[in-house]
Amino acid sequence: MKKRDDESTMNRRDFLKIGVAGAATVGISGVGGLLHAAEPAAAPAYRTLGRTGLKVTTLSFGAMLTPEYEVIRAGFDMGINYVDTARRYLNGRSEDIVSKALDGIRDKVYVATKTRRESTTKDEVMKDIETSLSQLKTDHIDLIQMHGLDSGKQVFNAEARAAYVKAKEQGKVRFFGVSSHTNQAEVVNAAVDDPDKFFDTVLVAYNYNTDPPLKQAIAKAKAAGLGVIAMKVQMGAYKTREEVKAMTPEQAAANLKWVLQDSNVTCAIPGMRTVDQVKQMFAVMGTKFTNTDDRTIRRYAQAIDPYYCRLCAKCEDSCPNSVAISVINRALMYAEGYKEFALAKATFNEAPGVSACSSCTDCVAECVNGLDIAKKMRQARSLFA
Amino acid sequence: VTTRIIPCLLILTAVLCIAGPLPAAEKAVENVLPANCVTGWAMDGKVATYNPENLYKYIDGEAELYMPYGFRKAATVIYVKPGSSDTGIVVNVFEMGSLLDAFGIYSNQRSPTLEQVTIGADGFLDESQLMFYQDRYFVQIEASGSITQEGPLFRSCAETISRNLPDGKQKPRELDFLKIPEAVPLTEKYYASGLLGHDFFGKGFTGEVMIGKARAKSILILGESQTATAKIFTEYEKYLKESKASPQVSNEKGEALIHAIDPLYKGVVLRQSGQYVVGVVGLANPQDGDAIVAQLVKRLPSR
Repeated sequence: MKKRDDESTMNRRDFLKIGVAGAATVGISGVGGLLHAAEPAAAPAYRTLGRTGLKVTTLSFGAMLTPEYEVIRAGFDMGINYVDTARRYLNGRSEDIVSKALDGIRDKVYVATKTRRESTTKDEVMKDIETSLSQLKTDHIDLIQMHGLDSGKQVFNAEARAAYVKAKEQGKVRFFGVSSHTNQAEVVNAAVDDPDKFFDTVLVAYNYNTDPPLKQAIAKAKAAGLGVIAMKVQMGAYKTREEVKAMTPEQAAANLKWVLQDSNVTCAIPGMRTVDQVKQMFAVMGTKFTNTDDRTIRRYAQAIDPYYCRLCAKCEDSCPNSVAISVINRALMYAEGYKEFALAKATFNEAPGVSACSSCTDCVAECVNGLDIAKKMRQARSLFA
Repeated sequence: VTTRIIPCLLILTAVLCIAGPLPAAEKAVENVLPANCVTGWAMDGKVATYNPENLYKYIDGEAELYMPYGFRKAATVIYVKPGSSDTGIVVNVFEMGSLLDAFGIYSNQRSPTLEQVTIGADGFLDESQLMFYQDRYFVQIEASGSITQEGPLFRSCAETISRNLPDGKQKPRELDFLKIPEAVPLTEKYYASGLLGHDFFGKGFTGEVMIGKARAKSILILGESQTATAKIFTEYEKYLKESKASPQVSNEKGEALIHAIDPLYKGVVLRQSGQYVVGVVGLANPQDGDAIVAQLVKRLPSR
């Protein structure tokens, strides 16, 4: 494994010089004109990934959705120096795609990947690491992460830990992390409170809609010396849903800025599929979250709010007829958002308690997020009943 | 009343006889999954379903991959064999927007080096999974734990599920447009947006071609109209110029032709043909792709 002595001793200014110059060198000596193709208006900005000491670009690359290695390479040429992947992404092709993007510049980019959730024994986890090394065509992984933990207990998986330690001793991995999509606050808090301080980073979904418990857990993680990596920062910006189609590049930039304004976050790894997306997101680095951004992000949240049911179903407890209100709301979303009327009507008809709802004239159900349930039910009845 | 109903019934019967048997009613995606996918392997628990709003709960951020392909609903279940609790067969059925969409998500999962299976419109098998698409459905069958003899098990399971889906050996017609002698079989992929990593290219196909001993990539962009396709060329030309590339642009009968050294894809030749764009990227010399482009243009539907 190639050692990077520079990171721990270099001050920020020195690193920035080398970082920017390094990025430019990649473009010039790497693949010729790529630097021009991907020429960004902004310069990279860096933060330290917790106790790993790695200085990573605040915009890093989530490779999960990117089928063309050239797009990832364009991001590296701009100066992005951290990429996150996992073997299962793109049905096992993602690590190979990343390896092509890294060709000739492996020492300029930090590589993070994950071991599989299904791997429960030390041998299985070791096999995952070996396979990832082979797929990535590298001799070391900078950050290996336990994938998709959904409870604090899983943070203490002894078999996985033993494998990680062994891999580190063999020089195959450098640092350890966890990722989580469910019960994130619990997982993060467990990593923070771990007396062994085993993990160096946490990877969590973090955006404008994130609940306070996770925000607090992230702050604790930063204070405890863990690097915090944010995913799902766009709240679905690149999906094809109608409400998301309406999202402009300015809104997408505002979403990313909102995440990066939180100094507890080290970097964000949005999935980027096109060069345009990379350019737009890259330009956000180092910029401030302004009042305009604040208005933009609030406008977006407001725009989706009237029909943005979080499908938590908490309102159903307040309905005396136990109507599946969340299912009816989903039917509305299909009709109004996706313009899939047949699917919407079928969903409405299948909703438990829908007949009781249709004959009810005095809706008393309440939404914890402030949606006007009575209005939405009237709307659904007029559309489907 | 009877004198009116009987003639109506007779006419209806005659119509039904002439029309032949009605197709079986299409099943909801969760009903496609049988109680036993293979003899001795039974459902463990209930079928779970996911919609566009909550698919991420099942496959996390990977859900975003499915959205551009018109994802509607997924049904998933695990089959287990009594006495072997640590092994199972996981089956996921995804209902996509169309046949083309189902092919799109399928084609982005397959590899031409894997064993092909003749289930549905097309399928492949590797050591731990079998995937196929049929009509607008994409089906994944995966091993959970250590399964022995998984190939025959997966095939049998896939065939059972295939019988529950709408009939369909049909493949997207656009695949025929890419069929030229130089094409590398089974390398075609369909992207519902952002072809080649450029928003302005929109949706289309890529496939690999051999030019002599060199491998390149053929592309077929599906424009919405001739005017919209002309705009794609304008955007691409602008991008090339901004990237300090020097495209050679010509026009034949009102349809653009570009030769360029693309900053991402090396030598490129693209040609408009009606609402379509065909081309080759990844060339040492842009002109090396001219013969391929000429062949591809000939395969497009006549206007």
